[in-house]
Amino acid sequence: MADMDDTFQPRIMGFLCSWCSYSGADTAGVSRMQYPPNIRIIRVMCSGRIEPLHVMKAFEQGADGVLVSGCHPGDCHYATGNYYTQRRFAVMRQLLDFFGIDQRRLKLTWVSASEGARFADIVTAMTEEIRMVGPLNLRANPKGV
Amino acid sequence: MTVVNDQLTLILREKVHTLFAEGVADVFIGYRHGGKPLRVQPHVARSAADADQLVWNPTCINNLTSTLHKFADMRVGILVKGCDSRALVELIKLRQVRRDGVYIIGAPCPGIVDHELIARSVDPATITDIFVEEAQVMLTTDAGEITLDPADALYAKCLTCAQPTPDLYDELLGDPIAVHPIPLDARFNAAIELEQLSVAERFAFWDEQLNKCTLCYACQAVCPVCFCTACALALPRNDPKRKNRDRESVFSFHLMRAYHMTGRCIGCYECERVCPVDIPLSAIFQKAEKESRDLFGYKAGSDVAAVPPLSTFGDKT
Amino acid sequence: MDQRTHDVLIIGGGISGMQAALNLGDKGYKVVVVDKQASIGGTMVKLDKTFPTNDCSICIAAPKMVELARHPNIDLLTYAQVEQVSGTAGNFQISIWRRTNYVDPEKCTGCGDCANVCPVDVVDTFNAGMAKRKAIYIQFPQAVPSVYTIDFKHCTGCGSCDRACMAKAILFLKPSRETRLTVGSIIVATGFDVLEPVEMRKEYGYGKYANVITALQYERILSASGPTAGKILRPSDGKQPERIAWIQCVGSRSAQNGNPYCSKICCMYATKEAAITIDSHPDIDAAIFYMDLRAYGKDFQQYYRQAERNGVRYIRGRPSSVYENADRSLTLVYENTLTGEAHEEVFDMVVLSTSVVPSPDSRRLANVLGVAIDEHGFFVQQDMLRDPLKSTRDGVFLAGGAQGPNDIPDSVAQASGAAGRAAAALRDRHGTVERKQAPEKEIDGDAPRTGVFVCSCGKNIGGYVDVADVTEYARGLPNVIFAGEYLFACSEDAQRRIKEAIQVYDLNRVVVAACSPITHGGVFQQTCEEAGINQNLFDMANIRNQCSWVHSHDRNRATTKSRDLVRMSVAKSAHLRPLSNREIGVTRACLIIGGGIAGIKAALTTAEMGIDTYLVEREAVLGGKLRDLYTLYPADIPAGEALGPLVSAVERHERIRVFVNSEVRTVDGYIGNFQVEVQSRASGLTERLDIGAIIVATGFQEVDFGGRYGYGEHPNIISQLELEQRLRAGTLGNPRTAVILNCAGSMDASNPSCCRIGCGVSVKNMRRIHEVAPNARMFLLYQDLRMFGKQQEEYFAETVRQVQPYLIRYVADRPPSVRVRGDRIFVTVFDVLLRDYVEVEADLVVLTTAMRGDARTPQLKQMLKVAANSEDFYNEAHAKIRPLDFATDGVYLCGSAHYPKSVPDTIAQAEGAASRAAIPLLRGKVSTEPIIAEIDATHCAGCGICVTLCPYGAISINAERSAAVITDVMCKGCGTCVAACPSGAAQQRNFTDQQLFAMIETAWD
Repeated sequence: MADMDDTFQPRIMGFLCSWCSYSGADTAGVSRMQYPPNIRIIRVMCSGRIEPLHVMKAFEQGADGVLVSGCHPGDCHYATGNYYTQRRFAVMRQLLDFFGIDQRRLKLTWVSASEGARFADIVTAMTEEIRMVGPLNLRANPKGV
Repeated sequence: MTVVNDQLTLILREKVHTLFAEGVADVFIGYRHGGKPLRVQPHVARSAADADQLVWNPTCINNLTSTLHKFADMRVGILVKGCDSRALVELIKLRQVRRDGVYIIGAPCPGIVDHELIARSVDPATITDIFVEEAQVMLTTDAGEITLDPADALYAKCLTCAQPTPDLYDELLGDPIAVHPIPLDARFNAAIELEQLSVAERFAFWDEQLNKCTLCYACQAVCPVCFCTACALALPRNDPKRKNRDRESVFSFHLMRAYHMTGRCIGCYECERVCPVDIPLSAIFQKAEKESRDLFGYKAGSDVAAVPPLSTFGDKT
Repeated sequence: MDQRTHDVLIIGGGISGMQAALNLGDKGYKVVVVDKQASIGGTMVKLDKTFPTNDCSICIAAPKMVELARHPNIDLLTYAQVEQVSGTAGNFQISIWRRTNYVDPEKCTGCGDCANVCPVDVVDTFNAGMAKRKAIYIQFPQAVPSVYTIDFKHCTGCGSCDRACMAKAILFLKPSRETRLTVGSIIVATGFDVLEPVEMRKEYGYGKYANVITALQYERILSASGPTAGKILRPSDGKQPERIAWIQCVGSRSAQNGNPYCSKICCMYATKEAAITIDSHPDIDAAIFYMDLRAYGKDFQQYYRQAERNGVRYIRGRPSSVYENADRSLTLVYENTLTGEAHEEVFDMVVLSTSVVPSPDSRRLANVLGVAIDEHGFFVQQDMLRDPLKSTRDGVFLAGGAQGPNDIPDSVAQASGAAGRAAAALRDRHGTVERKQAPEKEIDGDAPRTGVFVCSCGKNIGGYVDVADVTEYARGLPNVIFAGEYLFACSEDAQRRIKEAIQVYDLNRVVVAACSPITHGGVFQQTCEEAGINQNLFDMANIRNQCSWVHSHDRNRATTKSRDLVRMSVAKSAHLRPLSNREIGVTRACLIIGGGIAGIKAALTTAEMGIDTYLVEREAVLGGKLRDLYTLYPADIPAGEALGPLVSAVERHERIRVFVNSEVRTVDGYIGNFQVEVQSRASGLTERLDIGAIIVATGFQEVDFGGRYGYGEHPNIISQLELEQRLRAGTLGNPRTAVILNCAGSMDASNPSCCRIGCGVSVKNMRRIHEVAPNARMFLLYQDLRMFGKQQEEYFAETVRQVQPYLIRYVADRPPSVRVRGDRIFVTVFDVLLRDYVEVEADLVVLTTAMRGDARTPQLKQMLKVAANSEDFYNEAHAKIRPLDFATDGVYLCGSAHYPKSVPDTIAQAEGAASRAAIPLLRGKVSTEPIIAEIDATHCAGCGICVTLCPYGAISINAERSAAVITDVMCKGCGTCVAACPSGAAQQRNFTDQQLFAMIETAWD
């Protein structure tokens, strides 16, 4: 489209736990908080369900950034799921970095159901940050822009 | 023509005879001479006659623990080096091997010679005996004695070995070997070297290296602590992504394998040894082991009772 | 008793009536709901949003309405009123008059063709008179039942509708008729009305000036389905106003100019309306004129402060008059009581927060029911303090606005409580009625046939996303057989059309692109079930909360993203499999933790319902804080008098076992099947109990803030609880000057919350001190006087007359200081009304301290797997509609464990929590989650990684097969084990790798 500027539009995949972060994203909606439309959200019941493999699959599919978000430590609906998440993604960030994939492309955050503004802020900041980091282009044959 | 180490080999054979005779084991997993110079191959002895083919010498590189699962229902004996024994610890921890179902003969290991490395200085076919000491590797050849620097003869992992003698064994083959003092991070040299690069340089490095990968999955097949009945990371044979060796699929496989191995890799680097295209996989698994240590203070292969770092959490972390 | 047609009659189908009905229906009781309107929903559905969470009101009410209409145990009689009641509790004979709506409900599809051709315009009362409807109409898009009604009064009988109706649903000859019922109990939930300020408070020009409207009218203006489709426009010229004023207490808190009582909800709804207004229109100047800002509930104060920070102007002062200018703008004349200055200020629109008044039918209904109402017309309790949910007649209970101004959570709590009381009165009843499952279509092996249903949500989605484009796009996606567009997909009418589409197109997957699966998933899942499709063959694309609402300024990209989300959902749905849930038995026993008034009342309520009840109290005797209190307000009853009979009733009750001096040590298990260890603090012995449900009633404590306000430096600087103890013991002495310092340690930067009860307590204790020392000078230092509950404002006014205290208002920025010099106490405060410092020498200083939850909350919340906030108050599942539930099934809360509460509020909650807990216990079974983890034994190597990380201990290793095994009833479906499984042998139903990968792979075109 002619009127579209050619700013890089990062693709961000979001994996959100249902109880806190997905609800927080809902709250952002209910409160009409505006954030960039670059994120695609996948809901899981607990951030403990989210595997590094899902992150890698997202990068394989052309994601430039992945947001993993769960309940604040201590608030996990399933008591401890997010503690495992925290460990898994601490490792994953190191390994991504080791393979030359900027750590900033994988963000782990805690957003509660009431933190709509926080969710909107996180997505906004992350979109900006990934825009700075630039496209990942891991795919040999990228999907159409 | 073939390397012998008469004394320990004979003791080993004797021990296995006894195991069979006393009914302690039905099979014994060890090494026998391979078809080529400086090469051995895994050997499963089921009889006294089989046992007499067993050898132990500084060419016995294979980590035999990866074959244990084939003998799950039998009383089995096995010969393990220091590094191999760490895999055994993980396999017991992860319920793949029952400690009471396996008789472990621990082989204090002075280091294993890398036949490709030696071939640079000596024709392997001329070597008749090898003796490895801390500071030197002595070769007896048809042309006489040759002494090599360990760095020119041994596998890299042996140069920084922190565990020449197994922790876990029922009996030892020979005397324990003292640990040579090595710098803390020496074992992770390859990884640390890569860490010094910029992210972009690292990506370029791996892009080049992984571009060679054929997705043959030999690295996974040989790994002693990869025990899944089917690997969730391996692409099916007919998957076009496997045929095309798409970059993202190759990155994904190796990165995810590194993740799966974090807190599990014991550093035998059999993967790197068998890689047909010489990808420096040890660097990846050094990184996995290093992060396991740095993030969680966890060392795989050292304690059967330790809970894997990703199966637990600390004080709210 | 078998000739009863229903167990309980509920009069009124607003949020209270719906909550009570669902609560009873879920227990298996047969319920009939009578509503005088054509649709249920009451006042809540007229609101745009609800405070303090800003939930869209219709969004949280609509699912309840749909659930109610579909409930197998609930009959709905709308457009009807109760005419006669005879008999006694347990056996009431009821006569109900059902007005005819001249439409056959079986045939009407709710399509609206009739209204399109109707030539008659009628003032629309649902839109508070600001819009027109036709003589044949449906009240609002989500109306339940979604059947049109002919308004006989305005119908000209032209017959246009009859000719237009394809369904032949118009029945001009359908008569009104009487229905006779026999019921055991009655719940009055008729709600409230708001004052039309034409006579009273006519100085504000309502009815005379076009741009003076009521707050309810403003709610309709804000509402997307309202007369301006959600645009903020002033009535006189349809232009956007630049300046809007809210005037509080119009008709409230003034015996001369309206009603003496406080309407309780207005401060918060005005704050909400103003906040929403400037949120969407930062250029609008929003000003609220108030007397006291009564932000009294949990998180209310924070909500108010946030609104203020966002730019809402709060002006303390009651305008004396409003007059209209030539350009139809309005000039307000007022004195700012904080500055003492008189002002005239011009606004474009004035919103009147008018008094909550009884429903106009309440006098007639009270007569029919033979129960008492107060001088205003609100239903009264026989004993407001000790039995706040029971009317003056046995078997007739009260909930919500019918008995006085109430906000939604209080109404929901009361409704739950009334349901519990109504059920307890029916102990003769046995057997329960269960929902019949529709036979399920077999889909095994069938290729996916997906239907995509795209919702416009009025303009909530349609206004920002090209819904037609998304629908068209969906039509072209793999496996999609049908795609359709709906104005409100959750409306009964749309639900019916979805079911038809499922039948006609033989669909076996359903994707709804609408709002959040969290709020609406259940509604659509039930629709699927009713259409014969397993409820797990359904997925939702959240294009409202994730697209239209958050990318409102970029229609293109919001639409593209909506397409993407639909594509992801369609991709996932292809891999969905039908799932079932197993039913397991429950132990019919309830554990109540905390033996204060909340725990005691909860125990009596469960026990009365025939449930074995265990009451665990840490102290040596029951009673909690009431043991220390001297009297209760606003009835001035000695606390002991209220408590004594209840304690003996508990101790006498055959179904209650009391553990005093005991604590809960461990909690294992799950809803219906908890194992709890209770340990005696004296003997150290533990006892193991099998429990079906748990109620947390652990109360509150005063924050210890030694050092501040001179506390601890002088024996006569004491807390309110210490004052109560001294009053009770008669050791107060004879103070000459008493200072009560409210909000000590709260309502400031370090602790922004309002404790809800401090004002009431302090006003009551002024009376008590005055009784002991009639000549004492009394000072009350306050920030806002929050006397919001029933009869509290009147109680306050009476106290002021009797005691004649010095009322000194201060602000948090200039907190009072208390200094001790020798044995003398000096209190200095900046009086914001005098605009000067006042120093008082006092010989008694009472600190109304901040409050916290119980000290053991951190341990207990871990044991129960529930959440609490930083003040150790427990977090309910939903602030508005699930105030008594935890997110964890089978665990409930009540009383001050949630937040400080007055005794009547606590009792209502306690009875409500008991009623909630009784649902699984009386139903006798619970169902397992369908979305649990499962292990593919052929791929499982038995490594056991999953075993250690399951928080519920649901996984074990089967040594023989050397594979992991999951105990289904213990699995809560978090999927943590699945993520840890290296081989992929563990999968979570509905969240399998295959399903998640399908979404990842289709996230971008």
